Amino acid sequence: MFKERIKTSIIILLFINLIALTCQLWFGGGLLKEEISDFARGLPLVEKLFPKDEISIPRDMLSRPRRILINDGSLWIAYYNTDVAFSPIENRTSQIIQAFLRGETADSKPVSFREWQAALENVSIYVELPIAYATEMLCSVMGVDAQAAPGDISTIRDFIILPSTEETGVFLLVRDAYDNDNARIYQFPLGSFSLPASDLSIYTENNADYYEPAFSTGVEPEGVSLDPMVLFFDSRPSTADLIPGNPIADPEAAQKVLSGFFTNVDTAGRYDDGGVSVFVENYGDARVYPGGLFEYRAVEEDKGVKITESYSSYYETVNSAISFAEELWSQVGNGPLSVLVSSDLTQESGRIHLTMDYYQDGRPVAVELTGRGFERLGHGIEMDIVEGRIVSYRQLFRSYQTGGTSVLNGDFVGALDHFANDFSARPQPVITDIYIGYIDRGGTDSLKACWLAELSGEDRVYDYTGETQEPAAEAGEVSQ
Amino acid sequence: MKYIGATLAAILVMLSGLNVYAAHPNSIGAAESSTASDLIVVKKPETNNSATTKTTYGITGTGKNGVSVAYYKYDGSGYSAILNSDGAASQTKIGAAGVFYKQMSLSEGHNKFAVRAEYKGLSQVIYLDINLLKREVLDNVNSFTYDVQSIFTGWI
Repeated sequence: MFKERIKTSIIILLFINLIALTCQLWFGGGLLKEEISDFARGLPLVEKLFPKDEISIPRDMLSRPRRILINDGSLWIAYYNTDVAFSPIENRTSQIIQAFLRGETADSKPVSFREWQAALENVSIYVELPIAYATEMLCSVMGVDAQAAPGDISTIRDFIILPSTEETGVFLLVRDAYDNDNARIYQFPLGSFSLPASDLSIYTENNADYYEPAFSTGVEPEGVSLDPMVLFFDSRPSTADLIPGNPIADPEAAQKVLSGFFTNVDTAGRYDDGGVSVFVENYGDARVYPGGLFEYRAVEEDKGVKITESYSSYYETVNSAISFAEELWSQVGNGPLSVLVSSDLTQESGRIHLTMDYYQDGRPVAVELTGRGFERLGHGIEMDIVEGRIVSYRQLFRSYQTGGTSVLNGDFVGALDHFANDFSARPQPVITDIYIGYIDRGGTDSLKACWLAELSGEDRVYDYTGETQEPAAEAGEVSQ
Repeated sequence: MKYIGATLAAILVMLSGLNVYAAHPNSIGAAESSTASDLIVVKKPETNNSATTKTTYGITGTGKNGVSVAYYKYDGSGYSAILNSDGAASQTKIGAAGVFYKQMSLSEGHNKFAVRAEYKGLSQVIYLDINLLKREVLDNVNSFTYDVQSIFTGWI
């Protein structure tokens, strides 16, 4: 009888537990989602059973190309990593790049830059990464063991993939990110990948935006040089305005950000410096500007905010820095931190200078912030890391919402005219890219889309708004 | 006197506008004579008669800052101005970069275009015949792969 009661009690308890867990699943957002301990989180089985549903845009985008340019023999089409149709072609190219990094190629030879360009003129896929990577870093980013990676090219920013035929396997061309004369072609064994040329038209047939690399146009602009891969195009996209917001305008929000840097925000000294809130602790100080600029500086390099061990790898350090920025953002922002790493990851040791820039609705938002009392800020986030410690951190805290209006910017050649005129007084300026995005100077007005240009050797973006039009009601793009 | 000056200035402004965008005729003949030969240089295609496999083709060139450029397509009897999606004639004014660029959709076979430049009363017309070859993608690939193969076999 006593045993029966115990059994009944256990069954009742199990039943109650079942109801409770079901309620948690239905109404509480899941089981063991965030509460799971870090110890358990490291176990592969736990990771598989209870995957974190966090989205890390900067980390995910590190391994994705910035754009893929397809030449199917009839035309050039460019896909950007924010395009809906980007993933299918990216999946195919990533497999080939990963196999290259695993050292699965059969043979390789050096090629000239002329041959590199000739490859682009033929049926090909050009894959451009968002930044330049040390080869080892690229392996880590793409989840490949770096031990077998080819050592001929030490820094990589782009690839050209040539389709396979019945007689030959896929070819891959790689060049050094900083030296066009150091390029190689790698041959995959026949049958390792099937990428016939006819497959490329799948990706080009339904796309209406045609692009042409500068080298193929045959023109050399007055006053400036163009990087061979600057893309000419004829269409004028309609781009929505952005409404900026300052998520640390509220002093309580600013305190939350501070808690990421100070051991005890409540005991930190504070004073007002002409509208700027200054916080001082033994190991560092921070300044919160009314417009959303946040600055932190450690008093000494070994007194910075520890984000990882001093002996951590370059990849681990960058990963930790991204996590740190995301953790700060999670205290004050809604949704994931929408930034991409914008500084090259080619450094192997020493002080790491890491920059990230905002992206909204598939367009980059460049930050160009100048003012009295602070050093120019040229990125959404700038940080310096020394031996696993953040010694300097600056961020323009910004949230962006799509506005209700949009503009049609002037055409590509008009923008080129403007930049050629602006840059002509400089010694041998080389424009490395021209594209449409936004520039945020820390104001409160909505941001209108504009042309942005990057110059070789300069860590800043130049903007040109020029003549814009209100688009027609149903206009998405117009052709000149 | 003031009014005369203002009227003259207004007329000059109007004329300068015409000079940029309204000087080009709606159509031109197949052998329009030029009064200048150095207003523009077409860079692509490299020759007046050329062939390509590109169905969308960028005509490019260079010229002096301020030169107005208009694009025409052969309509069977003469060359008609190419129109933008808004119905206006496709014209551009060369700027500081000294570059012009216009994407054209090609049909299989011969595509005849004219590029007309106008500057300070002078004009120049360049006729182009771009032959869109049949899309023989695999042949292209094979010919290039042959070159690529030769890199490995030591021919180049």
